[in-house]
Amino acid sequence: MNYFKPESLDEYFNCIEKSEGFVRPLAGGADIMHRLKKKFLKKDGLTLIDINVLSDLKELEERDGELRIGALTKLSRLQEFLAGKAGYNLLHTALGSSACSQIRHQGTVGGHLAGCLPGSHLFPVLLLHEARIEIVSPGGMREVDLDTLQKQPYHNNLKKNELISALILPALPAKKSYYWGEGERKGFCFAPFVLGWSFSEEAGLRIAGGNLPRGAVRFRVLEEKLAGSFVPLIDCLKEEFHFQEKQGNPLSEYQKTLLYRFMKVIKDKGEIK
Amino acid sequence: MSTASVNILTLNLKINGRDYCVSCSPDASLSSVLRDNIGLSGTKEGCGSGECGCCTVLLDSKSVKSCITPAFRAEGAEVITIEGLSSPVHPLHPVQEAFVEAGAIQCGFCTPGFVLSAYSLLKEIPNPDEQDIKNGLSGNICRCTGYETIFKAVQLAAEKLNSSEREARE
Ligand SMILES: Cc1cc2nc3c(=O)[nH]c(=O)nc-3n(C[C@H](O)[C@H](O)[C@H](O)COP(=O)(O)OP(=O)(O)OC[C@H]3O[C@@H](n4cnc5c(N)ncnc54)[C@H](O)[C@@H]3O)c2cc1C
Ligand code: FES
Ligand code: FES
Repeated sequence: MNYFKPESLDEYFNCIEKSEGFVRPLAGGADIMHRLKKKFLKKDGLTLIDINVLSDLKELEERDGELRIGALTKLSRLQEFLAGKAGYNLLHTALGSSACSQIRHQGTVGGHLAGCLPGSHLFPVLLLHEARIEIVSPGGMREVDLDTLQKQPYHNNLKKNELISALILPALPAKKSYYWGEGERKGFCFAPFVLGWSFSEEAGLRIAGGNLPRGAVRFRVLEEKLAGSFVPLIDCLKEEFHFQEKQGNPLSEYQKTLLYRFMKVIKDKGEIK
Repeated sequence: MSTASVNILTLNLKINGRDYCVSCSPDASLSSVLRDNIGLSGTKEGCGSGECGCCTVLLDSKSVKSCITPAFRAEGAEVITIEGLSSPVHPLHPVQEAFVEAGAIQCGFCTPGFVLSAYSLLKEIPNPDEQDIKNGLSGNICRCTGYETIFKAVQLAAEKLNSSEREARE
C-alpha cells in the first residue's frame, strides 16, 4: 500500500500519473476505511492519495443564487450552514437523517458524492435541486449532473485523473416539500427507501427516490402524471401516519412499507423507467 | 510530505494534551494506534467497521468513530479519548457522573463511546430535547440498557453542565 499527500492540485495530478494499480483519493476516509475493514477493498496494490490539504476544494460560498460547496466540506459543516436557509430546508433535513453525527463530522461532500451509495439519504434531494457536480482534471473543469456521475451502486463515472471539486446547488423553490427516509436507530442501517418531493409554481412538482437498484432517480413519469393530485395524496398519507404514530404505531415502519408497495404498484404498471 | 510515496508513516499526535510520536501503516485506524501503539485501551473496538460507535473519540471536539478514522487524519488535531475527560480536580467529568447517577451502564463496553458522543452533542446543543438526544446518539449501539437510562443520563449531564456554567458566571 502506498500513500501520498499532495499539497496542490498540480501535485495531486502528478501523484496520479506516477501511481500504478488501484488509486483512490482519500477525503474523510470513512468510506475507504469501512471498505478496507470489511475487505471490500484490497490493501495490496492500493495507493491512497490524501487530498485533505487541497485548499481549492474547501470553499463554501453563495454565487448568483446557487451554493458552491467545496468537495472537502464536511457533511456536519454543510448541515450547520444550511440551518434555516431558505431553499435548502429539505437538504438540511436529509443531512440530519443521514448516517450519524460521527460520520457527518468525518465524511465530506465529495466523498459522499463519489461513493454513489444506492441508499444515500442525500441523492434524492440533490436530484430535486437539479444539482451539478464540478469536476477538475489536468485538462480543466467540467460540470455533470448527478445522473451522469452515478454509474451503478458504489461506482461513479469519474476517470482516473478526475477529482470532484465542488457541488453546485441551485436553491429549491418549494411551497410545499417533504422528505421521507428516517430510521429509528441508525448505526449502519441505511434507509430502505428514501423519497423526496417538492412543489412550487416556478419549478412545478419534483419527485425523486433513492435506494433503488441503480441508485437515486427522478420520477419524471410520476411527476407528469400526478402533477396537481400528488400533493394532496401525500398530505393525506402524512396525516394518516401521524395519526397512526399517536396510536403507538411507528411512523417510519408505516412509511417504508406503504411507500414501497405504492412505488411497486406504479413500477409494475411500467411507469417508472 | 508531498509527492513522495511512503508505506510507513511517522505521525506526531496530540492526545489528551500530551504529544506522541508513532509509526504506522497508512491504513492504520486511529483506534488501533490509540490502543496498540499508545496503550489507551479506554477506547473500545466492537464492530471495528463504523457501525457500533464503541470506539468514538473526539477530534477537535467533534465525535468520530476512531475505527474508521485513518490515524494520519489526527495529525494536527487535538484528540480526546475517555481517559482525557477527567482531571485531577474532577476524577469524573459531569457527563460521566451523570451516566453513573442515572444508572446508564450495565456491562459498560459501550459507555466510553456514549459518553464522548454525549459530550460532543452537548457542546453543539447545550439544551437538547429528547429528539436531539436520540439523533445525537444514533451512531452508538448498546446491547444492554435499552437506551432509556442513557437518554436520561444525557439530560442530567446537560443540567449539570449548564448549572456549573451558571455558577462560574455568578
Ligand atoms: C458506517 C457508515 C454509515 C453510513 N451511513 C449513511 C447513511 O445512513 N446515509 C447516507 O446517506 N450515507 C451514509 N454513509 C455514507 C457516508 O456519508 C460517506 O461514507 C461519507 O460521506 C464519505 O465521505 P468521506 O470523505 O469519508 O469519503 P472517503 O472515504 O474519503 O471517500 C469515499 C470515496 O470517494 C472517493 N473520493 C473522495 N473524495 C473525492 C473527490 N473529491 N473526488 C473524487 N473522488 C473522491 C474516494 O476515493 C472513495 O472512493 C455511511 C458511511 C459509513 C462508513
Ligand atoms: S468499533 Fe468503531 S464503530 Fe464499532
Ligand atoms: S452497557 Fe453493555 S453494551 Fe451498553
